[in-house]
Amino acid sequence: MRKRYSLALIVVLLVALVMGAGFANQSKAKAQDEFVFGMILVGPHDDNGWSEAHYNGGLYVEEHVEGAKMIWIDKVNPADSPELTMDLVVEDLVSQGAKLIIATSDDFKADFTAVAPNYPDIVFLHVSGDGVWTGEASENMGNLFGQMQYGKAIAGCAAALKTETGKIAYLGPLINNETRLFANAVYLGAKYCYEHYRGMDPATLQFTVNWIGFWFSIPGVTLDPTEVANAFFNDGNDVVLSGIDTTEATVVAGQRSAEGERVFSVGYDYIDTCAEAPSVCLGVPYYNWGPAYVTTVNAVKDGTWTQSFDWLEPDWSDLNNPDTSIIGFAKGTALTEEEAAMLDEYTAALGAGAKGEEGGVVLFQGPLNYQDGSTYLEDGEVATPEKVWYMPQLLEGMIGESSAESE
Amino acid sequence: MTAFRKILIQISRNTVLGILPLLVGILVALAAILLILNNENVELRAVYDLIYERTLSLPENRANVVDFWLPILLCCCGLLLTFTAGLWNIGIEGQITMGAVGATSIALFVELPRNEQIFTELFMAGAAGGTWALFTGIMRTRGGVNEIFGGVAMNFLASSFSSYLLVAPWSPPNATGSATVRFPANAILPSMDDYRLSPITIYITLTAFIFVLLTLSGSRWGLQLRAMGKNEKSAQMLGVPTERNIWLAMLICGIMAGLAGGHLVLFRRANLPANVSGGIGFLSLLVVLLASIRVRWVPFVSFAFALLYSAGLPLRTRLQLDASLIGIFLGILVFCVLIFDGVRQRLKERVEQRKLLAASGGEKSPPPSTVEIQIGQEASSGSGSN
Repeated sequence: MRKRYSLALIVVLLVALVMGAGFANQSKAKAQDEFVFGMILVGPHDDNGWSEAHYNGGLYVEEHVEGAKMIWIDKVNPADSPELTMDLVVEDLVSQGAKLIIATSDDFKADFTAVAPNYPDIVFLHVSGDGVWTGEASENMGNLFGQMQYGKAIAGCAAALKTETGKIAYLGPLINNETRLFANAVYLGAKYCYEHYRGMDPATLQFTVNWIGFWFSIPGVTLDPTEVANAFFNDGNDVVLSGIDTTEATVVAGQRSAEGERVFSVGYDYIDTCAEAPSVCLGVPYYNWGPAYVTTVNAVKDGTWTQSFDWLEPDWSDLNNPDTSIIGFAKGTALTEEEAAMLDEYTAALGAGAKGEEGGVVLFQGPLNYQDGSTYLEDGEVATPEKVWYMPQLLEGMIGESSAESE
Repeated sequence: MTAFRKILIQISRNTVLGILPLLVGILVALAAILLILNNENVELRAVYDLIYERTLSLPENRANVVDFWLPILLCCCGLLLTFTAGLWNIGIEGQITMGAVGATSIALFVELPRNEQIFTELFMAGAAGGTWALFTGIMRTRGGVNEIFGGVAMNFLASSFSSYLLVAPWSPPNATGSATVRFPANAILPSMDDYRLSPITIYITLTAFIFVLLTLSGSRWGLQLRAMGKNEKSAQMLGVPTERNIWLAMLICGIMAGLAGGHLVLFRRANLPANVSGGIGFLSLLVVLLASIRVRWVPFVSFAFALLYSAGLPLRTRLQLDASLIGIFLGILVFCVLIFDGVRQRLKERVEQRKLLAASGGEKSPPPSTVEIQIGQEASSGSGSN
C-alpha cells in the first residue's frame, strides 16, 4: 500500500512541478519593432559546417536589421530528435511570434512544404529546395540557394593543382540533384585545372565519389565519414574533398599528415573549416547567408515579400565580400603562392564565363556525357539553369554511384 | 511509552520506509538537473514556466502531449503482459520499427478505399510487430535464447532493415534521404477537427488498456502469467502451458508495439523516417518498471513522462538547451527514482528480517509494531498485486 502512495507522490510531484509553474508571469512584453524569425537547422549550430554557416547568417541579420531577433532550433534530424516533427517545430516557432521561418536543409523539403499552407500569414523560406520551381510550394513559401557549383569547381581545381598521385576523392552526403550537381562541378573544375595548369591528360585523373548516406554521420544509419575518408587515403587518393556538412575529411587529413603522409583536404560550407587542420587544408568553398537573409527579412518586415526562387550567383567582383556574395572560397594555407595564383586565375575565368564574357570558362558546356555514356550536353551547348539543377547522373569519367537504385 | 509517542514512531517509520527514499530520489534528481541548468545559465523557474506554458496551458498543447502519450501507453500495455510473465521484452524497439515498416508497406504501395486502406495499414503494423515479437518468443522457448539477447538482436535487425529500405527500395525517386516520401492523404490516419489527435489511436489504446487491466486483474490467463512471473518452472509443473503463454504474451505485446509504430508513421510523421521508434520502446520499459508492473499506475507514470518528453522542444527553442540534455534529465530522474526505490526495498527487507529475528528470539524482543505487521502483510500479498 505504501508503495502506491510513493508512486502517487512521484506522479503528483512531477505534475505539480509543472502545474506550479503556471503561476509565474508568462507574458513578456515584446519590443514594438521586434521582428522575430525562426531558423530550423538540421545539424548542430556549432558544427563548423553547413548549420553553423546558417546560424551565423541569422546572427548577421540580427546585427544588420533593427529589431530582428532569431529563434532557432538545431539538430532537427531523426537521430538527434526522433520525437520532433515539422508540425511541432513550426507550431512552436510561430507561438513565439516568428513571422518568417527558414528551414535550412534539403531534408526538410517534403514536411516543410506540407506544413506551410497551414500558416498562410507566415513566410516560409526553404533553403536548397525547388518547391517554387516545381509548383509544389504554397504561395507563402519561397526558395533560396547559392550557386555553389562555382565554389565546388574552384575546390576541384585546388585539388587538381595539388595532387601528385592523380587520384582525388569526394566524400559525398546523400544522393540527390543537389549533391550530384556539386560532385559534377568539383570534377569539372579538377579536370580543367589538371589539364590547363598542370599540363596533364585529364583522362588520367582518377576521381572517386562515395556517398555516406546523409549530410552527416548518423551511427547505424550512415557510413562513418571518418572511415570513408581514411579508406580514400588508403586507396592512394592524396586529396579528399568534403561534400558533407561536417569536417571529417579535414580532420582525417590532418591526422594522417601528422603521421608523415602527404595528404590534403578541401572543406565545405563554413568559412573557418580550415582551422581544423590548416596545414593540410587547400581551402573551403563556403556559404555566406547573411546578406540574402537580410534581404528576405527586410522584405517580410516591410510587407513587400513575394514568392520567388532565388538561386543567387556569387559576387564575381569580390567573391569573399561578406556583405555581397552568397558564395565564397577561402584559400587554405596548404596552397603554395603559385597554386593560389593559378586558382585566382581559374576563379576569374569562371566569373567571366558565368557573365558570358569572351575567354571565360563556362562550367557546364558540352560536349559532356553522363556516366552511362548518354549525352548531357551537345558540343558547344551551355546548360540551362534547369539542366544544371536536375542532373540525374554523375558525369562520364567519374567513379561512384549516380543514384540509390544502382547501389 | 505514551500513545502519542507510539504514533510518532509509527509515522516516522512509515515515512522512512515508504516515502522518504523516493522523495530523496526525486530531490537528488532535481538537484542534479539544477546543477546542469546552472551550468547552462538557465533558471529552474524558467524551465518550469516553459514546461507549463507549452504543455498544459492550451488545449492544442495538451493535445500534443496526449499524442506523445498514446504510443508510449500502448507499448506499456503490451509490456505489462510480458513483464507479468517474467519476460524482458527488450526487443520492443524493433517491434515498433517493424510495425512502422509494415504500415509503410501498405501506405506507399497500396491504394484502397479510405476505410480499407486504414484497416489494412494498421493490420500490417500489428502483424509485423507481432510477428517480430513472436520470433523472439520462439527463440526463447525453442532455441534457448534468452529473450533479452533475442530482443537486442531483433532490434538490430529491424533497425538495419529499416535503414536499408530508406537507402534503396523505398528512397525518394532518384535520391536518398532520411525518410521516405510523404504518404498520400488517403493513407494517413484521420485527425480530430480541432486538435492534432488520432481518434483511431485513442480507441486502440483505450481498448488495449482495458484488455490488459481485465486480463491481469481478473482472468485465468492473467493468473497464469503472474504465476509464470513468480516462477516459470513451478508454474509449468503445476500445469500452466508456459510455452503457449510466452508466445501469446510476446505476440500481443508485439501487436501493440507494432500499432504504436503504425501511429508514428501514419499519423505523427506521414512518412517512414530513419530511427522511427526513437527510444519510445525503451522509455515504455522504464515506465512499466517505475510503476512496478502495476496496471493502474502505468497511465499516470507514462503521462508524466510524455509531458516531460514533449516539453523538450520549447526548452530547446526558448532556452537553447541542447537536445541531448532533455534525455539526460529524464535519465537522471529515472535513475534516481529507481536507485532510491531499491533503497526503500532494502529497508523494508531489513525490517522484515528484524521482525523474524524478534519472533524467534523469545521474550526479549518487543512485540511488532503496527507498521511492521502491515509491511509483513504487504510482503506476503505479493509485489505484483493491484
